[in-house]
Amino acid sequence: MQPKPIEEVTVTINGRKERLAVDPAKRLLDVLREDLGLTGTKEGCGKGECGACTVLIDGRPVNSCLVLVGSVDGHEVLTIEGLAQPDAAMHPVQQAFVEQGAIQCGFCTPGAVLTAVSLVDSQPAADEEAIRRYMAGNLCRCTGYTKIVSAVKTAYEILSERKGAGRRKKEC
Amino acid sequence: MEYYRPTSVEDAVQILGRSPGAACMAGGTDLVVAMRSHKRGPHAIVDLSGLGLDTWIFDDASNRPAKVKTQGTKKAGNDEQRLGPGWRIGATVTMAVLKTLEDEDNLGVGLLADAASQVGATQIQNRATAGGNLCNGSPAADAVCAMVALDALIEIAGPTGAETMPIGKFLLGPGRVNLEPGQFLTGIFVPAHDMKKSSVALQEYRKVGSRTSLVIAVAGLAARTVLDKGKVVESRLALSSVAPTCIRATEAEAYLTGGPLSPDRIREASHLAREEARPITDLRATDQYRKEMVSALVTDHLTRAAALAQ
Ligand SMILES: Cc1cc2nc3c(=O)[nH]c(=O)nc-3n(C[C@H](O)[C@H](O)[C@H](O)COP(=O)(O)OP(=O)(O)OC[C@H]3O[C@@H](n4cnc5c(N)ncnc54)[C@H](O)[C@@H]3O)c2cc1C
Ligand code: FES
Ligand code: FES
Repeated sequence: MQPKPIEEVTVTINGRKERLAVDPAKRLLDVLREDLGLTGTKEGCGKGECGACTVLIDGRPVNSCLVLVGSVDGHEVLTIEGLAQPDAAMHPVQQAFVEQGAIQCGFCTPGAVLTAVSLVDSQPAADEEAIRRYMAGNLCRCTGYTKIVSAVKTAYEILSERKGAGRRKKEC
Repeated sequence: MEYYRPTSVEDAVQILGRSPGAACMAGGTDLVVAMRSHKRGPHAIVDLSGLGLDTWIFDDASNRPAKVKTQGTKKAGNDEQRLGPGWRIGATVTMAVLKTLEDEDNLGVGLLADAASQVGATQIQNRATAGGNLCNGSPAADAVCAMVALDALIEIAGPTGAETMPIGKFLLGPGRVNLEPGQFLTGIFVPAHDMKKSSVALQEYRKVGSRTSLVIAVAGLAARTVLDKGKVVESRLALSSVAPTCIRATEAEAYLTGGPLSPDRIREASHLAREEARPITDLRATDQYRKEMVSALVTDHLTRAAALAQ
C-alpha cells in the first residue's frame, strides 16, 4: 500500500480531544489562535527566539511558531487557557507571578508562565542560576527578569506549602 | 502542500523516492524558519517524528561483527572501520535527550551532551534533533561539532539500502551534506573512547557569542584531552563557525599528542589551531576576531586540562 498524506490531525488540547480538519503544515500557533480562538498564545518574533508563543507539548515547553500541527498528531497540548479552570484556584505559578508583580504589559506572560510550570513540574528544586538558564528562551521587554525569577522561586514556595498543607490535612 | 508522517523507514524511503521536491522534517526548528522566510518551499513535507528514531542505546559491540564496511563517498571507495562499543543515537533524538547522556567514565559522549545543552534554549532543545543539526549543514551547529570531535559515523537509509559513512565525508559545506536524492539520515553512532584507569580527561564544548542562550556561535570548540602520567595521550579539537564545515584542528592535535601541557606547548598548539581555522567575516564577527577566539578557546581548554593533571 502506498503511504498517503495526512489530512486531519487529532490532538488533545487543554484536556479535550480535537479532530481538526486543517492543513497539517499550518503552524500550531496559527491553529490555536485562528481555528480554536485560543489567543492567549502570542506571536512575537515568529522564529523561535522570544518564547511568547510557548505552549507545552506532553508537558514540555516548545515554540508553537516552529511546530507544524501535523507533528502533534496524537499528542497533548497545554495552552495558558488550560492551566487553571475559570472558577478554580490559580496555578501556583500564576499566583506567584501576581504576588511578585512579574507582569507589566503581559505579552510574554503566558509563555513565561508555561515554561515556569514545566520547570517546577520537572525539577523538584532549582536555584537562581538554573531558573535563569531554563527560562532563557522567554524574553520580556518590560518587566525585566528579576521579578520573573523571584516569581518562579515563590512558585516553588507555594508548591511546598500546598504539599505541606496536604500532608497536615491527612495527619489530622 | 502534502504532509506525510510515515511510521516506518521503508515508507519514508518510498515517499521520498516518488516526491523529489519533498523536504524531510524532524523538529522543524530550521526548516520552518526557512519556509517562513521563503528560503525553502518544498512541495511536500515528510515528517520523520513517527519513525521511532527518537531513542538511543549503548551498544557494547557483543552482538555484531567486529568489522563493518563503512561506505565513503562513491569516489573514495570503501573504508574498513573497526567498530567497538558506542552509542547508537536515532536521527530524531532531541537535544533535551542528548544532554542527559551522562558520562561518568569520560568515554566521550559527555562532550556531545555538553554541546546539546548549549543549543538554543529550553524550547528549542525540546524540538531540535541530532539529525536536523547535521542535515541542516550549518558550520555553526553545536552538536555536530561534538560529533566531529568524537569521530561519529552517520547512518543513512535510501532507495539503494542502508549505508554508513564517517562524519567528515558527510559534511560538505554550508547547507550541504552528502545525501543522494531519496536518502535520509536514520541515526548516528558515537564510538566510546576508552581510556586507562590512570588517565584523566577534560571534555567540553565552549562557544563564543553575545549571550549564553539562543546564540549562534561566533566560534566554538569541542575538545577532549586525555592525559596519562603528565603527557597527552589523546587530543581532539573540533572547531565550529570558523570554516565551511565543523573541522578538526589536526595539526594542533598531532603536535599535542605525546607531550606534556607546558605553557609553551599550549601557546604553540593554540597558534596552530588558529592557523587551521579558515573563517569568514559576516554580520556576527570578522575573520580576525574568529581566529583570536579559536586561539583563546584552545588556550583556555588546555590550561584547565593541565591543571586537572596536577
Ligand atoms: C531560535 C533558534 C535558536 C537556535 N540555536 C541553535 C544553537 O544554539 N546551536 C545550533 O547548533 N543550532 C541552533 N538552532 C538551529 C536548529 O535548532 C538546529 O540546527 C536543530 O538541531 C535542527 O534540528 P531540527 O530537528 O529542528 O531540524 P529540521 O528543521 O527538522 O531540519 C533541518 C534540515 O535538515 C533536514 N533534515 C532533518 N532531519 C533529517 C534527516 N533525518 N534526514 C535528512 N534530512 C533531515 C531538513 O530537511 C532540513 O533541511 C537554532 C534555531 C532556532 C530557531
Ligand atoms: S513567536 Fe515563537 S518564539 Fe517568538
Ligand atoms: S511583561 Fe511586557 S514583555 Fe514581558
